[in-house]
Amino acid sequence: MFGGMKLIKENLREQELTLENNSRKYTINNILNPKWILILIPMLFIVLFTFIPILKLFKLSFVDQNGFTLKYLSQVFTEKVYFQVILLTLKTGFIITILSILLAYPVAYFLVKTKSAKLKKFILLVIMIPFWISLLVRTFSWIIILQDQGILNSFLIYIGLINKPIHLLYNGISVTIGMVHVLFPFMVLNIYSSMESIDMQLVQVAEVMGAKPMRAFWGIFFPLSVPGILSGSIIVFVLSLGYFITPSLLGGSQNMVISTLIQNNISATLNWPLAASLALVLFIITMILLVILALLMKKNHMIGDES
Amino acid sequence: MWLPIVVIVVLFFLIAPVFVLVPLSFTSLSYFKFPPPSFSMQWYHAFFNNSQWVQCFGRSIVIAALTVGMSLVIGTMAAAAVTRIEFKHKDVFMAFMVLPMVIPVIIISIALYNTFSSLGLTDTILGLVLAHTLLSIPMVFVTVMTGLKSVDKNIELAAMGLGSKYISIFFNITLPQIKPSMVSAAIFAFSTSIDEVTVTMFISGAKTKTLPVAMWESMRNNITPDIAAVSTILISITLVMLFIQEIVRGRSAKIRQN
Repeated sequence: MFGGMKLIKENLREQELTLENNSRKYTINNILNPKWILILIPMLFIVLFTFIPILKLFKLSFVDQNGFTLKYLSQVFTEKVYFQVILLTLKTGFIITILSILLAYPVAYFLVKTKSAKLKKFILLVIMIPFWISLLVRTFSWIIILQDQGILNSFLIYIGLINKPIHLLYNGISVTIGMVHVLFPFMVLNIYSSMESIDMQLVQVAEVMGAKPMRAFWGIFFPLSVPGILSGSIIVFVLSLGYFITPSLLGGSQNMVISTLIQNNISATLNWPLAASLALVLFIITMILLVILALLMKKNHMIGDES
Repeated sequence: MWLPIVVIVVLFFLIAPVFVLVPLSFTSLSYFKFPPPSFSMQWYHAFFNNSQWVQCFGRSIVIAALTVGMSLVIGTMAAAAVTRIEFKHKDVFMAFMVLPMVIPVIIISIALYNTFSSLGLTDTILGLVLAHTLLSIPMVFVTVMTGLKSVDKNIELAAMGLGSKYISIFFNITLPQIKPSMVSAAIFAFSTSIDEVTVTMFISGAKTKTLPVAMWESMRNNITPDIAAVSTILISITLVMLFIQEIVRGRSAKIRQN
């Protein structure tokens, strides 16, 4: 027994010694303190490979060999061709957002209403599957569905709805379909999570007090789900502005958006200043929308805290 | 009554493109007819006998593996910094870590193309790994951070009190507890890298073409069923990864219950 006590005491003394050693080591190697390495290495990586390259790119938009110039940035807004591309990008984004809301809202509502946990899990799984599959693969799939001899046209001809293939690919229709398919999960998950936090008793109370189900829905449930629609819409809209693969593969020459125009200016015409100016405009629009989103989410949190 | 019907139609719209591709990759025809009149493996043979496809595929796997390693190291460091260290301007640090996800990818693409060509990093494996790593960092950072937040800090403090070094505490005590989030982070990084087209297209060249870039080029020129075969292979890789994730998650949940 005494032997055991002795061992423990020796152990303790050893530990005290190592503790002392450790503290001494850290004061000597203060610069090599793991604390700073953990912060510095990731920071250095992002600064070197994202931050500085982007600043260098933006510099190209207003500095050329003669020094400061606003020639290229003003070109973006004054030349009709470029300005139209920006307008088309915003218009396409708007249509995609509206369509996503219309498709996502019923699905989210069904998810909240359904009582079967299994069904809920299954629907969420189906929503997440496209998320996981390569974007290129999904886009390719739309090409074979929508082309003139594609699956959809063959089917429509087979059931006798049309007798000549309709052109669905390489135009606005295919870009919109492809993009809605890509961005839909973001919308539905946003709306669903805001609906989850709605107190269903409010709707029940309204119905008990004599409101018809339709009126209870539009008067109480829908307004409470608006924050989810808004945040989902901003995310979908922002993402739609920057997407490159889908408009590039599914669009035709008439469907040039900002991202494909940027790529065109780099690969085809080698017009770096103009590409950089377009990138800067796209960046500013994106950041403004993201700040609005952040404010919106903050406000919702505050409302949530109060209740 | 109309609600379930709408839901079914929307879910069908979501899932149909996936279900169309897989059977078409086994078609015996050289064009797309759905459903295929008869099945064959010819497009898989075409894929594996085409040295360009196979080379690009191998290269993609190598780049994705290197990306996983690098982004896990950097992302975990950043996550550890945020959850274990008190420092000023932590919110700025976090904003920087998710920056690559917030900026439209086309802007990152041409910015990197511009910088990498002056550094001689275009058309190199290193350049591609660096680019894919920075695109993966945000997801790795967020995933590992969530994992680290759930770990009981007292165990780490106890180990520190007993004289262990930071590094051995991390590898012996913290890492085993955040294994599921590390696996998810690795899968995120892997699929980011193996799917990446936009940035890769700009900075890769003839020597470093990846599978997605080869697919992209062939989709722009002529659409043949061998792309459907490649797509099916990619879909199966995704399924395998999700399966691994489920196994790891299930196992650690069991351990926690015990």
